[in-house]
Amino acid sequence: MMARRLLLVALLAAAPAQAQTGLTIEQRLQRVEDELAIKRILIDYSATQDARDYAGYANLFAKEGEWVNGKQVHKGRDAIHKMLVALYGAPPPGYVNVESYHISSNPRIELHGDRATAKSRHLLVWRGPDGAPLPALAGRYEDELIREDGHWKILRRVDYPVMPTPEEWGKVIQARRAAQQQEKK
Amino acid sequence: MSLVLRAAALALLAAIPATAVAQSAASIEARLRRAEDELAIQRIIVDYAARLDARDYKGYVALFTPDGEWSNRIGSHKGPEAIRKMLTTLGPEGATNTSNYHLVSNPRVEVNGDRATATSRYLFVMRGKDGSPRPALAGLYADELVRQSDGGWKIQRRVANDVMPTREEWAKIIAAERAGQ
Amino acid sequence: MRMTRIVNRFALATLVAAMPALAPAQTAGLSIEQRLQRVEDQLAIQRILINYHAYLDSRNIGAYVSLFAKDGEWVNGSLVRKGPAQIRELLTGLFGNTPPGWVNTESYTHTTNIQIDLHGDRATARSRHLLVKRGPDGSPVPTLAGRYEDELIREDGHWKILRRVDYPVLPTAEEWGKIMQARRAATATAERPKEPK
Repeated sequence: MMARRLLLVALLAAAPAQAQTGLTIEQRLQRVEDELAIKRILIDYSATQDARDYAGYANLFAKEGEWVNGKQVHKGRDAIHKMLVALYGAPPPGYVNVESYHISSNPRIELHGDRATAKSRHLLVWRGPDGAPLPALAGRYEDELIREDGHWKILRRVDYPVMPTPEEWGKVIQARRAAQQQEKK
Repeated sequence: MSLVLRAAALALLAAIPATAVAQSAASIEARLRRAEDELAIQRIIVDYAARLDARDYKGYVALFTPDGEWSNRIGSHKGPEAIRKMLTTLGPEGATNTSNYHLVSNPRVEVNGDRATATSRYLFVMRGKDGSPRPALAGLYADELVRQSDGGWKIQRRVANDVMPTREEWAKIIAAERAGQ
Repeated sequence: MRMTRIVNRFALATLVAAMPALAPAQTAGLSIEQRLQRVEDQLAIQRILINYHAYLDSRNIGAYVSLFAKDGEWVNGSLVRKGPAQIRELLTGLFGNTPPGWVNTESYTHTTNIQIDLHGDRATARSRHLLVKRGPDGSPVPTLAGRYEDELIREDGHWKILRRVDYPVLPTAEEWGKIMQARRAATATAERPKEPK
């Protein structure tokens, strides 16, 4: 018994100091799992958005979750769901999006127990002339996350457009809609 | 909680034969450290882009060991002062940068004890004519990293290999843009 | 021995019970070892998806084929290739024989948005790929954007792709066919003067 304990002490002493010293194996494992779980949420966000899975998207947020872009603020899953309907309309059943998709990259996660922050980047790629993928919008996300009933949820997501700026983006969207209308005629 | 935990852990360990403890504890610890190392190094690759794009030169330099080296096909910059000097060609420290950013992806990390190698891919995206993001430069990073005494990792050597365009093509593009302005 | 196991289980139960707030639902009831295994599986599968494009872009056909299970399948629309021999043929058909040491400066692929779901010795994965090609002035031009849906299997202790389905998004398969035809026509025209007369 004594020998065993000594062995364990020796084992731990021999291990080079981790940045998170003083943590048990369980706690360290928990941190690794938390990081992977939060990275997955960042990816699920783009997946549900691009698939127009509004319920799945809203469910990524905490009960009091907020979505923010400039002065636009939507709080709570219902409000966030409505925002998507207003933005994209109701998709037909079995909808497959071949018009656009988001590359979600550069995740940086900071864990603080049952809270966390995350920064990431997004690049919206949409259909260009002849169907080739055309990068249209590049931005950053800054998130606060919370562990709610054992699951990580987005408490606050702030979308910071980088290229183009919101003003430029308004013009780009107008031009694209006009071009699409023209095509339909 | 930590007392209960410790007691529980001891009870757990006490219940397992001594040799099994040594083996399983060592391998669990070693396996967990491997996972932690991989995530820590993935993070350095992303931090690099974040600090570079934010013109956080101090933070950028801190990602390298004191003998750390950054190089590409044109030349190399070794040590904190040389690396910082290279960065100042991008403008003043801390300047707001909304005209470009690096998308980094495809990390492949190999850990060998206290050393590691990593490769990743970058796509440098610049502000285009109507503000749209325009991919301008695509390449590969190859890194050598070393574990520090505090357990964290630092870059000892980063090689940036531009793939598209080549350095020569890039120089032409920049010259043409300057002439056009 | 039996006693040991009971004590062991009891200790584990105490350990788990001591930290209810920390245990997310998906890891409830799992041992440390099992949880660690899940973490390792995720990292291993992530790596396979990234290796896929590392090998494809460098035309390392042998390594590419080895990512698939013995009965592994590659699927894109009605195109299906099953088993190492057929998958190898697919690549040699696309790229021909690549000289050793060849470096690809014409194209590469960003692998992103990886989602992995583990089910013991099976797993599913979704990811996105963006093929970037050299444009006229050397600039990187996003050329092909798509999704993968994979089934993976643990075979002899290693994760392998059992089935990969490639879903092109931008352009669509039809548009891509036209682009490739146009490119081949352009290349043929450019090469014509070299032909012996």
